[in-house]
Amino acid sequence: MGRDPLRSELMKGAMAYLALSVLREGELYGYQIVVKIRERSDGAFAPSEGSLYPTLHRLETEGGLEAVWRDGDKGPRRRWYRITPVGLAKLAALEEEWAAFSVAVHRVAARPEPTGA
Amino acid sequence: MPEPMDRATFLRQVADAVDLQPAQVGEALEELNSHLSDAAAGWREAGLDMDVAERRALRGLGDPQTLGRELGRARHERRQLLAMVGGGMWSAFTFGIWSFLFVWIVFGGLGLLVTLGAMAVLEGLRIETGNWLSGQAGSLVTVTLTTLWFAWMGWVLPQRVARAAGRSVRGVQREVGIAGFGIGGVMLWMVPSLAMDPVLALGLPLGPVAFLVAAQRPCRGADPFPATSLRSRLGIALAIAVVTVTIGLVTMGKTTPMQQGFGFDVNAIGASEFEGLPGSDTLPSATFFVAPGETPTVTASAWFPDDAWLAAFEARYPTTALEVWPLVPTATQTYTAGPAPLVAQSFASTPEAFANGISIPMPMPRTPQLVAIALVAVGADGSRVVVMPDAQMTPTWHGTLFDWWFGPR
Repeated sequence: MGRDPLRSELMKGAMAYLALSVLREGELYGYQIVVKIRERSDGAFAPSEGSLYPTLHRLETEGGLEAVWRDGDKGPRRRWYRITPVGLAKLAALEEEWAAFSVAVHRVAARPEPTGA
Repeated sequence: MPEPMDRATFLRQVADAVDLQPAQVGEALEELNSHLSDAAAGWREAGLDMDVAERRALRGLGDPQTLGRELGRARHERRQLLAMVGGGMWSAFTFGIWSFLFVWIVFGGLGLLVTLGAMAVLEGLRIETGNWLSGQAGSLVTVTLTTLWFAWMGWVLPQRVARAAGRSVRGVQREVGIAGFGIGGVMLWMVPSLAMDPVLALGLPLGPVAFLVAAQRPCRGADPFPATSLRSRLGIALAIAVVTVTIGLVTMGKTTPMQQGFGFDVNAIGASEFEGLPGSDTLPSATFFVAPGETPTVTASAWFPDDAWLAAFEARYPTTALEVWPLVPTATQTYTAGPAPLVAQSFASTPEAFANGISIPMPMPRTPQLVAIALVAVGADGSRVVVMPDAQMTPTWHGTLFDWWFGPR
């Protein structure tokens, strides 16, 4: 089944917000972030893994995340991400922005109440 | 239907598209590889067989080239641009000095040793080598070494700039090439003032072009510039020295040394006998000194038999002119003065003028030419007597490359 292009575009824009949100609760590596977002959204969000890693790297470059390599119990070593105070501030700003955006979208999309003749 | 891509091919395509340093590319690939292992394991747990699970995991990451480009952009910051400019300038400065010395000392030194040996052999065989080291063949060696130096800079600088900026070599090649071509070109054309000849004028502009070409050489993979050992560098140096010397030897003997011991007729300039002056055992004499440089001058100093003779000279010839005439060959294998002087300036014939020396600008044509320099006594009636003539080559044209090509003719 092909991915809905509109949802995919929305996901790209929201990727930093979603990644920071799940990382607020603790350290995770890339694949865990994907799984967590998928589970949290009851499968409604299937984040594009191809845009997740550039987003994580960008956030790390900007100082919002710290990354560290750790050996896995089994399998290859993994790169774990941890949110920083800069990341928390960015998350707060994104929450605010997203809430305002969401309200505005709903206002536009809501059907106007029929007015009496 | 295209063959499904395997993991190694996918990761290689990502690596080819990432504009980052090799260490960063390695980390990104390791992270993607562990992600693919986790994702494939997840799909297997969901019931898919191994091949299908692997393909689903790969498909989840999307197009490898897009992913590679995005990973590169994610690490690029504004400060990297500053690092790139700063690192580029610093590398150009440090490596430029080092490689310049290496090229001129090692290549030039080896070339000189071999050349001197070859010249000795040719002299022993009575083969004319001319003024080889300062002639046009010498200019050819200068052009070879300069072009080589620029090419070497273009070969190495992208790697150094990429390291400073945290970018891949491929990612900075174009910028470094264009910057080096532009800055190197402007500096080469405008800054150094050189004793120029047609070989240098034509050959030196090749330097920035060599830089541009060397900087754009095709490369693949994360680190396309493997380090070379000192032994290999010396080997390359020796090979190039041999090539340079071969070029020199081929052109050796084709330069024309200045002719010695030829005669020229001064009658076109003036008479050779003084009139109405007291007799003397000696005649006046003069020497001419040509100071080369961007504005060359010729200075004449004159000596007279005695003060009484000079006083009579001053009375008979109140003006003295210092003139530079072109010399043209005649059918009888001598030279004669051309139709008009190239430069001429008159002075009052005073003892002070002769004692201090008389200076005028010396002509500096782009192609050196044989000229007669003459101190000419000019009488009140317009009669002219050549006090002392001398023949010389005009000094080598001196100036910037820009002036050579676009300066006044």
